[in-house]
Amino acid sequence: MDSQITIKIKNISKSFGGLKALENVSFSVKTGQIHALIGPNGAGKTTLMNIISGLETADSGEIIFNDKPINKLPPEKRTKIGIARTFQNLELFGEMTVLENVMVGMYLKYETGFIKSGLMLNSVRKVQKDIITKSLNILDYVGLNHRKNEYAKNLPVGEQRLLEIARAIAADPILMLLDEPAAGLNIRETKNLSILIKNLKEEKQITLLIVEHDMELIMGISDTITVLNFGKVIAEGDPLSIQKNPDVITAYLGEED
Amino acid sequence: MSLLLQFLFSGLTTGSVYALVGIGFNIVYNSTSILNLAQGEFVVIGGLMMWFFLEGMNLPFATSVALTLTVAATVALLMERLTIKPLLKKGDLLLMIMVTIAVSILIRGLLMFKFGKDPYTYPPFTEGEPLVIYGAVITQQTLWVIGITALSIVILYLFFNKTMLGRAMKACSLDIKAARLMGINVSNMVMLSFIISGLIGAIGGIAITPISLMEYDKGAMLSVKGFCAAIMGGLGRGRGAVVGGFTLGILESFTAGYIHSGFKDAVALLIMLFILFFRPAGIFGKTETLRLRKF
Repeated sequence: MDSQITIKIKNISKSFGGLKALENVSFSVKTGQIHALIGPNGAGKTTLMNIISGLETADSGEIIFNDKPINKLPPEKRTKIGIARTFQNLELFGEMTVLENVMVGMYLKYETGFIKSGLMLNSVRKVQKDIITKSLNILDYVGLNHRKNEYAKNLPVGEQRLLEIARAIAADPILMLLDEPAAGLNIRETKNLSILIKNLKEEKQITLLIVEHDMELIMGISDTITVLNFGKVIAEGDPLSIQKNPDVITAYLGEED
Repeated sequence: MSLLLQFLFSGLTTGSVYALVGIGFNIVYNSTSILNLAQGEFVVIGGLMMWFFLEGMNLPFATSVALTLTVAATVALLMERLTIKPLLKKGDLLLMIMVTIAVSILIRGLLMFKFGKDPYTYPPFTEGEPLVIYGAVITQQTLWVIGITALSIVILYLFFNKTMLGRAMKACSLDIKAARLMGINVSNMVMLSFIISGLIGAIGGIAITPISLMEYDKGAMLSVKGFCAAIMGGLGRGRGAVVGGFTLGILESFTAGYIHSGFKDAVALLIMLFILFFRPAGIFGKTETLRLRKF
């Protein structure tokens, strides 16, 4: 097997009732790349994200992560082997503070510490301190340190998206799935986001799979782009070739008469 | 004045148990969105098992408490693993609530087999002169009940807000999808929530039995009262159940004292109807948050 591939999507199909959300979708995300998944609304992008993270099961096909099939793993196990994600419709722990959200994101790495802390054992003090220090570092990294004690639900959308990314970083992933990270962000926030995403790749060596509608952002940061339309892959390539691809232009703008 | 104080303290005592049952409701509700209508049975288990170990087997006090809590935790654990866990995947909330009623009937039946229909009691935790405040007589056990309840509430607060495990449980109740993706085993957290709520029910039972006696069939009414306490404060809100429980206890005690003791149990039901009609999110709850809940 090619060790340069982090995740391989193989012939994934999924239908809801009569509607085929995904039809024989196959592509690979290369290690260390920013891979974008684009396509018009309803193309099946979020469904595919859910299948990769284990929240939905595919009707057929295989997901291969680091050379191992992961189809049967429940979502919590997938996080354990290194897949983290963010959500299109923000799924933060609203009634917890920003810091606590990131702390919970470290659950897997400190599972025994978590359980011991429930028994209020003294020996966990150090672990808890560790978790807090690391969480604060991550908040620093995404630029949310000044918000650490606020409830997550009180943050503006832009910062909530950053917090979701921070929480995903906390799990120390190999692959991070970002579902529309720029939705609801203004121009300045989007610019900062693109720097953050590039840093995740370059400094933290995280491979990224991103679903996004903001073409400027996508064209600016992606190494490879896969285009989905009506549940099928219609094109794949680097940003330049995608922009010129007639099938992609048709999918987005419609057929010329 | 002395009479008023007397009623107030007796209200706080029964209110303590309602609050504990109410908190138990909330903990399970937050982790599963179901109502555990067997909640009151754990108070009965607490009282009766404590009698069994303390008086029946003549074990020391501390051992009896430990064994009673172990029994309660085991029953809660079995209940969750055998009845709730298999059904949780299907997600039929109504079915699961019916199952908790079945479990409560089963527990009641078993307790009747073992203990018969007689009420049981054992001596108060400490012997000694009751306190007299402005003519109101307050037994030491009353103080124990209120103190233990307060302590339980503080410990639960610290658990859910200061420990990592508590935060993980809270995360499950806030957003189950995200919690799973953090790697948290939701099923284990559900089990833990049943155990914790079983334990605090039993603690209430252990403390209240020397005052109010305990018999096998008290659980159903305690479930109703605890549920009332929980919805008064808004289902799922920890602090709400505490305020709700004490308010209900005091109102009951005043009703029994100033009107007629026969009306006592009607208070909870009246409050419940009133709240469900006019403020379904509870006195402190917001209607929008209620609408976001599954049940």
